[in-house]
Amino acid sequence: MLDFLRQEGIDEALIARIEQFHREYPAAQSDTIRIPSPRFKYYGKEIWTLAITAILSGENILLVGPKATGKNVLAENLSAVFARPEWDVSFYLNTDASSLIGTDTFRNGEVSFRKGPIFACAEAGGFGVLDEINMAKNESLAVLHATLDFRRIIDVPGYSRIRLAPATRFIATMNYGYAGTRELNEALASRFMVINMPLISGENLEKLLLQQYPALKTEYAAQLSALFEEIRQKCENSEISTKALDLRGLLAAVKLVENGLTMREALSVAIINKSFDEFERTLVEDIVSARIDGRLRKEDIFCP
Amino acid sequence: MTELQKRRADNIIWNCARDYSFTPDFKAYDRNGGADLYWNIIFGSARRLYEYEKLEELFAMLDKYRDAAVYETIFWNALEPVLFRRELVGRPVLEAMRPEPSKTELKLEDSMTTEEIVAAARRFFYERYGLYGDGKIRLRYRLPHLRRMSVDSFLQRGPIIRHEQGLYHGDIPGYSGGYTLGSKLSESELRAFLERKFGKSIYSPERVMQLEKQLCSGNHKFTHLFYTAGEIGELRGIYNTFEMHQRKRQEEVIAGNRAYYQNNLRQNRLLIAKLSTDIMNSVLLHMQPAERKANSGALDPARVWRADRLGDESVFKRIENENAGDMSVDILLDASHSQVNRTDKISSQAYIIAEALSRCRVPCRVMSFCSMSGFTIMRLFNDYSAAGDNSSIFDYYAEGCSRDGLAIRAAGNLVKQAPYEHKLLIVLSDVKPLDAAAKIRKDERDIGVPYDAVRALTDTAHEVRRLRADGISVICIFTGEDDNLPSAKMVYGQDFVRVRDFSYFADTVGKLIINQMKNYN
Repeated sequence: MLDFLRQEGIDEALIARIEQFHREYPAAQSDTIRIPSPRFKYYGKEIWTLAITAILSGENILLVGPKATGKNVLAENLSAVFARPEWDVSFYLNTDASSLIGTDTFRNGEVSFRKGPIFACAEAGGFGVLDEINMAKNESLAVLHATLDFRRIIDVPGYSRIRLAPATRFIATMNYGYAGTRELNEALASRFMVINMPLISGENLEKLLLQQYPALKTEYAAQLSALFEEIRQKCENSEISTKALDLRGLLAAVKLVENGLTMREALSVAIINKSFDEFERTLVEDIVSARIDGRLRKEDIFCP
Repeated sequence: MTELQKRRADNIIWNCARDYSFTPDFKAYDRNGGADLYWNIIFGSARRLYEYEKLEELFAMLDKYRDAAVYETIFWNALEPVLFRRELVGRPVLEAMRPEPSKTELKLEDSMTTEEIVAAARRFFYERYGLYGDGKIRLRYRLPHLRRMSVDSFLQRGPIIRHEQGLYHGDIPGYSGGYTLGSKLSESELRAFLERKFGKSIYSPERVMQLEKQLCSGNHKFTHLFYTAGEIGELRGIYNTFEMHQRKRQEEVIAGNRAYYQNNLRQNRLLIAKLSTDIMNSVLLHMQPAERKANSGALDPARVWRADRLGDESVFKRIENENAGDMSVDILLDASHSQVNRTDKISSQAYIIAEALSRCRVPCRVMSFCSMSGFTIMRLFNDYSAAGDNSSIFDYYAEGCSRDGLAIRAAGNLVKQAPYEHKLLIVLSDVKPLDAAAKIRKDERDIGVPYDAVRALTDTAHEVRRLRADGISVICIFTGEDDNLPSAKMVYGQDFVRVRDFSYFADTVGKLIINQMKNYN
């Protein structure tokens, strides 16, 4: 991963400090399975620099951005770069203290404490990814306040009070506009460094496509990237909803073509059909047809 | 050409122009009325690749001629190969899509600037067809061959190209004022008239009498109420030409309401989606926690013995959220004559709110009120139980006066009977209460004072506060002009909004409804 950072043009001094971080906090043998090896890489030097510096400074970070900006990709990449075990917690409406810290449970006729992901992460000095943190009610997250700020503790009434291992960091992500999302309150937001995630640029999207599918012909990487940009423009002008603006779908479509579908079939299942409104689907179909010949197959878009 | 296909053509053009800020002029459709992909790409790329204002000047020149469509088609056929070659670089797919190019004598080169193209086209149209450019044609070209060259013969080959001039605004043709019926008729004759006009009364005469006794008191003494769901049925007889004229006019307005909604279908659907998301969020947020037994969670001391004695490990509590949702919304539309020029907007707004609420499974009822000849007519469009179908709201029609105070009192009375814990009444009104036909009278001999201006406003404000005191939230969506805002403030206090820009409708109204929901917890 560090070589990748060098390619992206990250400052050598920062990289040296990451290496120092590795030496200071080697991951426990039992946790190595939790260190991710990312399938996708995050492109964008500025964001990398912000995130790395914040983490080296001991801060937690909050990644904010609309769909398809690579929030989770960056979070996973960061765990990999710092070689820390990762705990993923998806937040939802009913997320409460017990699902984060731990709950009482019954084992062999005795009440015992079952550690929640935040607790386990804090003990191991891992990176906790708090996915879609704004899906939960702010009140139920108050339990994390002491964990996320300078106190760095978790106090479980009736059990113990633990200090976070020094390497522990939390990376939260949030998105606006989904059903169920809401504002994060100040108390919580002030415990994070907030990074606004930019939309992936056309150039970086091409890079991403070619990294995923090295055999993809460059002209088709460019066409797919332009297609994505056109869908995004249509969303911005609120002609369609953001359902079809799906980067995962676009990447998956190439895979489907590689495995034998025609371009038309692949883009239908991966992008067009994500809109459930019939008219909206027609609009997306038009954008696709205005760019990409539906009859293309594997041998057309991949180098032999 | 359906609205959807027009929208689709627009979208293809915008996409290729990479610009969404203009209204496309030329659009192409196939034989079945579907948007033509290839030609609309061409129109869009012309916007991007050339200085379109200059081309517009050319089209404006051609438009002065009777056969403008033919000339424009010739021009587009000439420009198409150029645009095709230039666009092909970015869109290789065009190669496969391109239809057989039409032959044209007007030759244009890829390297030409917009000015050169326009100049070449002007020269060509002058030399070949004798167009001077000011609507006149050179004498020796005014020959029958041009007559034969009808628009149709051209269009049978290529796609159908539509040149649209602006957008249809659905203006209502000249209509001069409402009317109030003379009060020479007896009460029962008036009721019969109202039944023919508005539909059957939904209550028996006894029930109406009872309601009038209860509601038509104070400032509204000696006035009457009429409740209908708009069911005309076999009563639909027409008694004179005046009524026939009225009914025809009403049908036009209703068709106009529906057309207005359809014309803005895309925007309206987005508004409904946005509003229902907002409301749904609020509903979710205000769910009530409820305790359940579970096999993990917080220990429930009262159940611990069961583990030891019965081997039942479900000795924990888990908090789950349950729907607070015991809430109903009533929408009351002001259907007096002052609203006559915006029935289309008001019905769309009411429909959007009702539809968004229905999607969130919040029971919603819509009614309207107007007054004539001493009667205040309450028209019910749907019922709480009629889940999903709100389309009758487009039957909204504005005429007569507005006795807001009585209408709000009567609506409040209906809302009170609703079997829900929390009740919200949304009034769409221009807050101009005025009832010319029935004065405020203290007793039989009193000649009374008119129900208008400050007196009527005070009465309405009083009714609103009374409903609030009864636990019904009343909010107003102000539909009138700015100069009447102080009235709205006086009657509804803080709880009203003015929708200035329709695109913010969902945000504004959503916020207002959500604020009310917050108060319920």
